This record gives sequence, structure tokens and C-alpha cells, in this order.
Amino acid sequence: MKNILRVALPPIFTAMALLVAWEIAVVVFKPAAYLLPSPLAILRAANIDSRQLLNATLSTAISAGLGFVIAAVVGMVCASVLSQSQFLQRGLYPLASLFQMVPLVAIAPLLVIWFGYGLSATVASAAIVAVFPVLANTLDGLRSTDPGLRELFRIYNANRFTRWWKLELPSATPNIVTGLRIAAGLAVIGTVVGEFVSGYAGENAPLGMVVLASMRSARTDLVFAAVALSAAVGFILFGAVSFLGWLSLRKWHASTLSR
Amino acid sequence: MRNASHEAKLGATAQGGLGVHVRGVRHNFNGVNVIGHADVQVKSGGFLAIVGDSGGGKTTLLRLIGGLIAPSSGEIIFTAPSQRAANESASERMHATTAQRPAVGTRASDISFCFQEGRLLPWRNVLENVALPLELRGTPAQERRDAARDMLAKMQLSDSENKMPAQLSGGMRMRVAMARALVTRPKLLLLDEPFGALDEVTRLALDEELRQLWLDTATTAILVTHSIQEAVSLAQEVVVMRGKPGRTLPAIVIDVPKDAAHRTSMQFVALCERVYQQMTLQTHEVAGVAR
Repeated sequence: MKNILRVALPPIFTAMALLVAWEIAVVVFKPAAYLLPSPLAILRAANIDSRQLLNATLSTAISAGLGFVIAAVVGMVCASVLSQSQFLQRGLYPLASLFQMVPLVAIAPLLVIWFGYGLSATVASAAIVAVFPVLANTLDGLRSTDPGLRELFRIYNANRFTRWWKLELPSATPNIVTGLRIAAGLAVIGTVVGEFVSGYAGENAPLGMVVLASMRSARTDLVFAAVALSAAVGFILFGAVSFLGWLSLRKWHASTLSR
Repeated sequence: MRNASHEAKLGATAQGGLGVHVRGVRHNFNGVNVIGHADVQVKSGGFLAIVGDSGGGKTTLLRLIGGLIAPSSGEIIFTAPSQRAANESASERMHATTAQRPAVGTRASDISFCFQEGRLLPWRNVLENVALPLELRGTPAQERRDAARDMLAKMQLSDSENKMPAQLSGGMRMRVAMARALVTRPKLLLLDEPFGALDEVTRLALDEELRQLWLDTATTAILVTHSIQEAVSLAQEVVVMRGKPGRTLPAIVIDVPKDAAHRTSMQFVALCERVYQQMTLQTHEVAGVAR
């Protein structure tokens, strides 16, 4: 418990201090509300529209979560397949990294054409940006398995599947966790970008749409609220993945043992 | 990959070690001649040590014997223990004959390796590491755990069965690696500098433990080491490997009683001296002795 406080308190204090400074600055300099609302004003606005914001957050969280899960599964499966064959790796990996260079904003309209407006397009958008870090890190991990341990499995006549399941995959866990943590943040970004293009208004309009709609009606306080909530979604996803990663590594990996 | 009939022959003898005869083996790796000429023999249940310069092909020779690589020329012959056969059933006795194996790709489950780095899986606890060879062989979970626990108990490691490798000292890790190597009840134990990275005190203790395990299990053991004292104090015969490419010199028989004080006896010192002399021969002398 003491350890958790020691890790959690400094960033919390820093954030509080920044918010207080912001509040004071707004009170002192009195900028127009559409330029920079104060933190308390944002909170008040969020409270008034809490129902809509909650629905929006839920909708964004579902899309980011689904996109993340798809990216995690697809990334790990593809990396596992690629790791088994030099030929596939040489042929496909450069293409996969090239795919990563295509700006998401540019392909988002394509996703609308293919998946229509709504959840499927935003999920696809989230999955597309999140898949590459999973793939690249998993592949790195699978390939850097200790040659001594590989030889050990060879001595015991382990087949390919056993070697992958009992040796390569566990030894790649630290890399996989790293990939998943990066993917968690990216999945939320991908979702919001997707929502900008393919979002929909109404009861369950996602956070991306709330941002757009609030901007058009000069409700800067709501824009801030929606941005903060989407950051919170990313933070929770990241935290959950980090916790699961810590659970799987805590007993044996140097990154968790030395603390 | 495996040679089934060969497996059957090796598997037929439930107890005792394999005899090994390395005959005129020469080995090239990536176009470089690593082993010029190796002639080594160890009888069933024997203990042979191979000492020599680093990079002199000792480890390569061990890997050739273990079937991890195939020799460029020459042969490696395995002999099932013959004197034990009298106690076996009639059907088993029939199979207790000389078994030759082409070393390529055939890794009989009767052979175990023990490496300097230990090579434990860091994400598995001690028990699961020791049970690994049986697990990969398809032994049912309860059975392999029982076997691993037996082995750990024998080596007084039972208290550590739930520990992770990262929680163990270097010496403990090697003992777990030894337990893993022995859990399959191998007929041939190949040890590649197993205690090379340990401090002297731990090393002496583990040497003694290894000797005791070898006596208890009646397995054949081949130890590669750079320590003359270790070789002489453990083995029945010591083979020196010299030069580049490596050549084996005629074996030195170690006929010193292995009691607690043997390391300080005159006989022990004299044998170490003999091994030392072979290790410091000039290159042209090596060729003369080797042939």
C-alpha cells in the first residue's frame, strides 16, 4: 500500500497543482469562455450534460476496447505465424510496416465506405492503428528466444507447436506486454479519429462526435470535458493492460522483480 | 526424426549406462576443421572427463556424442550395458546388444545434457522446470510431478520446489538443472562445464554431489571441464584434447581412491601433474602422442 502511494501521489499532486494554476489564471486574466474555460466551469458543464457524456464515453470505450482486443489477437496470431517462417517474414513484414506509415486520417473515409457509419468503422479504425505495435513487439519477442533454451527444446524433441506454446510465447511475454500497452493508448486515438469521420449524432453519439458538435456550437467547456474523458478511457485501458502484464511477469521478469 | 528401432534398442535396457565409443571422428564447422581426430571410449556406467584449451573442440565433441550435430567423418557407437542384462527378462535380454546410431538428428531420450548456464525456464518454478523433460515427452501431469518431486527430494531440494529460478543462487540453479537432467533416468549424462561459473566452494560441494548421483544412478557420465582438479577428482579416466583443430590424447586412467581427503593425496597430485603435462605439450609433440 505504501508503495502504491509512493508511486501514485507525485503525479496526482502535479496534476492538482496544474489545475489550480489554470483555475487561478482564468480568474485573473478572464479569457473569453469559448477560448479557455476554467476547470471548474468544465466540471459544471460536464455535470449538466453528464448523461450524454456518460453515454458518449461508454460508446467510445466499447469501440476502443473491441478494437484493442481485435488488434491484440490479430497482432499476436500474425506474429506467431510470421515467426515460424523466414520466407513469410521477409515477404510480409516490410509490407506490414509500410501499412503502418499510411496515415489513419487518410484511410478513415475508406473505412466508412466499407463499414458504413457507426461502430464497425470506429472499431476497425482502432484496430488498424493498434495492431502494428502488437505485431512488431510480439515478433521481436518470439525471435529473441534464448538460443540455449531453443537447443534444450530441440534436445527434448519438442515439435513446433510445443516450442511456440511452451517456450517462445512465454519468453516473448515482456515484449507482448510492451506492445499491448502501446496499443491500448493507440486504440483510443484510433477510435476518436474514426468517430470524427464516421460518427453519428443522437443519444449514443461517441466522444469524437461530442467534440465535433461542441466545437461547432462554441461549447469549448464540453470539448474539454470530452477530451478529458477520452484520455480517461485510454488511461483505464492502459492501466488494465499494465496490470495484467504485471500479473503475468511479476514472478520472474527483471522489470518487475527489481522494484 | 527419431530412429524407432534404435530407440527400442536403447530403451530395452532399463538400468545401467550406455557405453560410448567415439572412433576416428573428425568435424568441420562452417568450413573450419574444429576436431581433427577424436578417439574416446567410455564403458557402461563409467565416468569420463574431457579437459583441454577453450575453443579446442571439447564442447563440439560432447554435442557430437549427444547427437546434436553429426560428425563430418568417423563414427560414434553406443553399447547397451551387457553385464546387467543377466538380471533382465528374457525378451529384454535379446535386445541388449550393440546398438549403433547414426548421430544425425536422433536424440535418444536416454541421453541427458547439463549446461553451464543451467538453462532453466525463468517463468517456471523449480518443480515445473524439473518436470519439463517428462512433460515434453508426454508423461501425464501427476506422474511427472511425482517423478520431479522424487528427484528434488533425493537432492534435498524439496523446500525450493515453488521457487522461481530468479530467486535461486547460481549453485542452486545448477543443482536444479542437474535434477532436470536426471529426472528422465538417463543412461548417458553429458555435462558441459556444469560448474564453470560457480565459486570454488560451491563447485567442490557440487562436484561431490554429482559424484554421489553418478554412483546412485549408475549412469554413464561424460564431463567437459577446463579444471584439471575437477576432472581428476571425479572421473575414472581423463582425456586431454589439444590443438587447433582439436585432437584427443590417449586417456589417463585415474586410479586414486575417491575418499574425502583424496584431493590432497600424493597420488592425486601426481595424476593432476600428468594431465597438466599433456595439456602443455607443444603442438608437434601433440601429433606424436595422439597417433
